[in-house]
Amino acid sequence: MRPEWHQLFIASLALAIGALGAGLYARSAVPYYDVVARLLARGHPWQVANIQVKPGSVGPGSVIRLTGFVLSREKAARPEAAITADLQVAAVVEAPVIFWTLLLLWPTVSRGQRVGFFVLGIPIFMGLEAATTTCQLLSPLATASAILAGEHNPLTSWDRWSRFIEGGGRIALAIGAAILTVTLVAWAHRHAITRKRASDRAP
Amino acid sequence: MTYFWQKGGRADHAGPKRALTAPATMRTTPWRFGLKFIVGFVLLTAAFESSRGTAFERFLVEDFILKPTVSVINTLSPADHVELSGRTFVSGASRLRITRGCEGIEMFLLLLSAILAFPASLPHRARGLLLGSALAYLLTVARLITLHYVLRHRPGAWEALHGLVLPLAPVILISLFFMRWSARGAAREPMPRGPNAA
Repeated sequence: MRPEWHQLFIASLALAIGALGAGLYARSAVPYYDVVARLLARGHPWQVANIQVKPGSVGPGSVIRLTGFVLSREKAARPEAAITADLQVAAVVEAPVIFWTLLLLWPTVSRGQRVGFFVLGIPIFMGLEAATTTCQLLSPLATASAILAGEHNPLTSWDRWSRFIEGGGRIALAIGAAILTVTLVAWAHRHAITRKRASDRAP
Repeated sequence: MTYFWQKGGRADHAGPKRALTAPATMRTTPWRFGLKFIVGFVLLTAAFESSRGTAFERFLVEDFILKPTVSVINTLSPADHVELSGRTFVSGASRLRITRGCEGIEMFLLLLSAILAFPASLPHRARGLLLGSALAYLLTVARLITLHYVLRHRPGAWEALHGLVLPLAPVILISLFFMRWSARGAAREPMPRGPNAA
């Protein structure tokens, strides 16, 4: 099989798996988004009540919904606004589909290197999910904070980041994260070979 | 074909000095390419976002992408009577709003960043941009047409198709185009002749 056809086949398979398993993936990832959202909300006057997978309120399909509160200041007793933020489940699956497919297709020199991709890929992927999905879910809280602070029609840095992710940034970041994983594993592999050669030469 | 991330090209066996002047595929590393690609994409996206609301952006999205798409749909299925209202395809009860990230601009920007990040000669780069942009345009129009038909006739399939398959399938095809383009560029570039050449 020509390499292009092989790649097209694997990519199509990944798309099919992503399309069929989007709901399952979203439900499995929600506890992680919840933990990261609460961590990111620290230092801001925000409270994350919960993150759940729900049927979409506009159009067909389901969404990941963050429900949270915005306070006037971090330690205020009562919230000033209740916020819900929705993200389409199918859009959230884009990053894992691209990231893991690239790692699966990337040529390796040994099976150990492939295992390295997956071992190192997990923490890098968790960072990618925090930077994309979780930040997008928190973005309306930042907007509400800015409105409560007296800004009219605010465009916060969270909004800018969220727009970047919507406008193809999720795909670009997933590709970048996969390349970072490959580079780090290749570096570790070269380092291990150099050390092995040095120890073999030693008397 | 040898892709830029693959080893085993002639330059790999030619010694360290010759490898320094190896063909384009060997003159970049995944890390260098990835960094340039991400930086390029961020800059291009920022530039496009700052043009939102201008005549240029309206021409690009509405006149260049949405109006021809509506014409194609009305040619294919006149009974749908699709009208473009702002950036919404209105056809009977179905209303398809084309929002940020749905216009297909990101496909052009991804391709442009990838071609700019990859070392290639100017004519080869221009050829890649020309053919790639034409492909990206066709895929964008095809994607919007498919979205219209899915929303109107198969709303049950909307979630998977709109959220995942239709944004990613064109990106996969563009990626395959890019890989072929980058491999061809390397194949055409002559091996350097120098004191270390065999």
